Amino acid sequence: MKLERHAIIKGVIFCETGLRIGGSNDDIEIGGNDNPIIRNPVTDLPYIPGSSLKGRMRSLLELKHSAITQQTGKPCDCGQCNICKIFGTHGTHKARESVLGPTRIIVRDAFLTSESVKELKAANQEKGIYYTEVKHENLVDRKTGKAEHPRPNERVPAGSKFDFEIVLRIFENDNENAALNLIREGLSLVQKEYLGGSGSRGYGKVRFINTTIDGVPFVLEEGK
Amino acid sequence: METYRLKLRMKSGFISPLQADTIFGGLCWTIRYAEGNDSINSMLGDFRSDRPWFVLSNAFPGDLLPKPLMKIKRPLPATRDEQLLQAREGKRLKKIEYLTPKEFISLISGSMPVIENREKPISQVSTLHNQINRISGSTADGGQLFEQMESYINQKDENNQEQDYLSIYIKLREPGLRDWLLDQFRLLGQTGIGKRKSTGKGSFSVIEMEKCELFESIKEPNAYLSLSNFVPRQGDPTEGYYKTFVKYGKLGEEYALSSYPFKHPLLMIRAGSVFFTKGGVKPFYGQMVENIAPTYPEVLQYALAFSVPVRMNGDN
Ligand SMILES: [Zn+2]
Repeated sequence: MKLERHAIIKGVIFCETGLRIGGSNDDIEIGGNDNPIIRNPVTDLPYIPGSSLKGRMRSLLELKHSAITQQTGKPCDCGQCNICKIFGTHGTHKARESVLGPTRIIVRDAFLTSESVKELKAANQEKGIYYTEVKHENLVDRKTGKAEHPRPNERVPAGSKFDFEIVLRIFENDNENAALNLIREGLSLVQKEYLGGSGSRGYGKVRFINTTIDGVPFVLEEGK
Repeated sequence: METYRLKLRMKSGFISPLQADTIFGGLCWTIRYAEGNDSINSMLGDFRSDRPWFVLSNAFPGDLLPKPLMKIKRPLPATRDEQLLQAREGKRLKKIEYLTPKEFISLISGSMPVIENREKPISQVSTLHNQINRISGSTADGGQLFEQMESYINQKDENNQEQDYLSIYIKLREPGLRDWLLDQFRLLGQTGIGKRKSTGKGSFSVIEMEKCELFESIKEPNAYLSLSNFVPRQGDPTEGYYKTFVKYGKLGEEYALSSYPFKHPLLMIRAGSVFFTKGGVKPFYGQMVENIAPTYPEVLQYALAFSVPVRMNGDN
């Protein structure tokens, strides 16, 4: 296989609502009330792991296009479709025997834009929150209608921006347009749904803005 | 061979430790994908027949270098207090993994510098990742949760300036290879090295590749230190101070998709090990290991020693 080039898609992830990507899983209570988000251990700044964006794109694409996923809820492992080819094979026997070659897509960690770092720093000084906000969620008792067990949820506040980068490795004989369309569709689906945790409660509504491919505008959806 | 120093800025955390053989493996795939089979085969042919195009060190955080495994002659303690003091000092030094260039050079030139305590230059953090059930949207029924240890560089120099880069030392067979190798490293940075490349782990940008004369000041060397993990070859010096470990290697890229993507376990000598030489120090020791991957007999494991001259006082 011969590598033709790396296509580089860049842009900004704009958080329309608070975004929560847990340092621990949402379904698992670790240390009760403590619900931290993921942060860079050196700078302590929140970031969006490449695995979160990649995983979300993949799962939404699979739910839409893969018969296997639609039946089982599990990742596609057909070893033949474009999702398997571009996002990488899931380590099953079937996929391993496939001739798809290496994973084509690389989704990097997305870091706060310098502008967002400044804004959040200012908020930090005014309100004493460390680059984030804490939202208290209540469980409402269905009989009494009273709120119980208030649970603090740390999130990155609405309006925050992260720089993102996706690299697509294009090999000889790859269908570049098909690959780019799949990425485009994946990003649009994330935009329609959500990123991170608690999406059904309104968290994680994001918009991909200023998207470019190799420096030229990369339009996600027609007419936008 | 001329020595260069390559500085890399990591774009996020990395999972696989950046050891010479791992970096070499990544470069081989880059060369193969960018230039085709003929190019990689001709390069590996030269490596096989003892004419390596380049010799790599492991990657080290900032300007730091591995603590040499050396025995230091000290006066025998005369009193119980001195004995305690020495034991305490030994314990403290044992914990230090890396030295500043100044400490390193002073030590391999035969003196005993004062070695300062410093924070660990690499921070590790464990992150939880999950595979959600696509239909229910949760990790319950059919989802999976796994933990991943990521490393980040957390190194400052003596003026408290951040050194957010890794250094790889490289000896080149001829200076003309510099620009070519630099290009290969730039390409490799786009893809990343090691595990979880597709989520951005191990990706980097190249800051610079400059000539490095740091190791050229050692007078009358009688030993060498290896800046890379390696496997000695027949005839290599055997007397010295060294540590071994077993490497459980894995194949990369499309070979990683084969039914058996593992390499045979390999006993290697750790970077920082020191061996006595008779006469001068060669630019490299060690060997390229053949027949390392059962499924792919053509795979070659990089196990050369990046040698640095050392002046040891005392025995030998
Ligand atoms: Zn598939």
